[in-house]
Amino acid sequence: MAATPAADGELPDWRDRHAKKLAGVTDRHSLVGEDLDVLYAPADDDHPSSYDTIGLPGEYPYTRGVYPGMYRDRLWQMRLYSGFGDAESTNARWRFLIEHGNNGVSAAFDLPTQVGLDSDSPEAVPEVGRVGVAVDCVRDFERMFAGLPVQEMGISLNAHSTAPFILALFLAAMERRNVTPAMITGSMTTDVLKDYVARGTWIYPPAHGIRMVGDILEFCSSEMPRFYPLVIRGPDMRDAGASPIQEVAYAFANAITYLDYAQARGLDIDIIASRLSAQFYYYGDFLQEAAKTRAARRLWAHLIRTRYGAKNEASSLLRVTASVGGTHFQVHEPETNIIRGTLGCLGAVLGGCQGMLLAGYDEAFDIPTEDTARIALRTQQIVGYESDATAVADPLGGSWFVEQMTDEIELLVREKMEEIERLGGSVTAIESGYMQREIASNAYRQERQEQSGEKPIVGVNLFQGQTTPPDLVVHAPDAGVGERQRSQLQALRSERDEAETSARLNALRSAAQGTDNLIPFMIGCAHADATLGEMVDVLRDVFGEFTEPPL
Amino acid sequence: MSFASETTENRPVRVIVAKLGLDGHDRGAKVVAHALRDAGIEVIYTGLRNTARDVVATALDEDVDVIGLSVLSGAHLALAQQVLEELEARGALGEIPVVIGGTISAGDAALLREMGVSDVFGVRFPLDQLAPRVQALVKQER
Repeated sequence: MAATPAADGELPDWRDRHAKKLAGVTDRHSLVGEDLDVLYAPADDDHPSSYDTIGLPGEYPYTRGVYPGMYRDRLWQMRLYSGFGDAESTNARWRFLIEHGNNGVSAAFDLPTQVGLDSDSPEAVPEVGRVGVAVDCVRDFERMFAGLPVQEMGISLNAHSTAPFILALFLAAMERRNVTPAMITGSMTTDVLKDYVARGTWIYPPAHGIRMVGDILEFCSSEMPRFYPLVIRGPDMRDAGASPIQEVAYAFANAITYLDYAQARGLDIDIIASRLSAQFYYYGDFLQEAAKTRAARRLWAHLIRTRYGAKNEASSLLRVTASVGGTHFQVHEPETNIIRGTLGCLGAVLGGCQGMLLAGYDEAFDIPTEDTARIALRTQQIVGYESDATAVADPLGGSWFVEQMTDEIELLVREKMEEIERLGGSVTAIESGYMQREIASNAYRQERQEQSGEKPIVGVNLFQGQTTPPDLVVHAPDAGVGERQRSQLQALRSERDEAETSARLNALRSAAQGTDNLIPFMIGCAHADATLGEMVDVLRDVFGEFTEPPL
Repeated sequence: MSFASETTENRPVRVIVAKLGLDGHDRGAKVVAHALRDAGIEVIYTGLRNTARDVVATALDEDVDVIGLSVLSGAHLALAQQVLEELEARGALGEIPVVIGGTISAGDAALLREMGVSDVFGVRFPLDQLAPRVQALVKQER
């Protein structure tokens, strides 16, 4: 263990309170060779009030991080959002990433999968296997995870609107290799409301989407203790042009909708909240992005304690996954995006994230190649292992600038959340198109600022280099994937016990008409070789479809 | 020509900004719609998940001057082709110019022009030049 702190007052107590967690921290040395402490903080008698507003790492309100030892205890989970083509090509890419030190996998699904279409549906054809992996049935999940140590790795399923179906297909595939839901560690992007706000991958009207989020929360609380079933997402909104304030405020407004619903359904806040996490986006203004993360954690802790009356301290702790790279990666001189990724990565680390997805520098062109995926992973590793951003818990804590930004961002987010409450909550704000229009206006403002040079982007509006984007060696799409998926579906439909499949689909339909939890019914369908599209269609008959409000 | 064409010439330019297929990236389409409206152009924004048939039908019903497509999923070649074919099927190919915006490589931009797409707008195309380029196409047609 590192040297004892020089400060009097709170710090020795903090150290005692977390002795167990701090016992295993790694030694880090300063540039002059001295042992570095885990935490640096003012002596208690100098700044007694600062502890009240920012607290200490691992303690309410978690401004300074969710764990006492932060990265001295463990680094964040380094994952790349990855998946393309079919189950085999995705399996091969995942193996490559795991061999290079990726902790687990973060599955990207193709657009047809995200909106619940089978690969042989006419609307699906141009998109099969393009921006993610094509999956139609339980067999795809069996092949995709074949040979991977599923019990030892984090698995995140980025399924969005189709999350309940994807979870069911995945669990059915795991069951076929004797892996029970309780053995699975990972997370899922079940946050369906953000699909209406930004992602455009909606299916049913929001009320039904929320019901199924409740089903997932309830199912996972009892069956999947090591799984984070709900990641509240901001990055999609940021990609659509939201400001960082809108990002956090709208994501939290959506979270409130789920939590209010879960409470009304009788779910225990302490069980639900402790397994909820958030995901935010990180641009190059890394000090303010770090402040945003600190502000979000503090606001969240307060919300869970006061609005929901959570009793366990851990319920109010918000784990954050960072998304780095996407819309702020440029097509001109794309290699420079490696630096933009590094700055975003720093913001996420200085903000104290628990997981990170960093995009390839060719993100603006296509999904990453093996090379660009490797560089994205190396970026995280270099920041994690070579830099001192990870040397002490919350190294920015106490910076006048960062603390003031943290306060200001928290206040602005709170105001925007109150605005949504006044409108009647996030569902009303989505159905009326309010959130979408607010974000579109910000996107327009941002584009104007970037085109005028008010917001400098090197190589694009400042020190212009390339006038036209280069032709990169991009990921080569697999032209045969659509055909292979279609013949698999044909085979599946001819081999399966049709009576059993229909019986299971009918059972899902009846359950949807009532109030039963739908997840077990979906798992039943998956085992009976029903396809994703068939399950989604059955519920579409019952729930109807979302209509996009006008711009 | 006749009295009717004079009315056509005097009314504001009207365009449809369309998202085709499953691609949910509508930031660019909305920014473009905003910029064109600011420049006095009438914009019909379709929202997401349209088929080529929907878009061409709306374009003909609304008598638009230009069809603008926004594609960020990488499927721009296939989707543009579908719209051109649908225009041909409705006997309107060459009557309404089709333009496309998105992350499109120089090679694909050339292919799109060969296919019959009238203009291609890459990422970061200056917003203030959008309306003049669209109006220039309309002038050619009229």
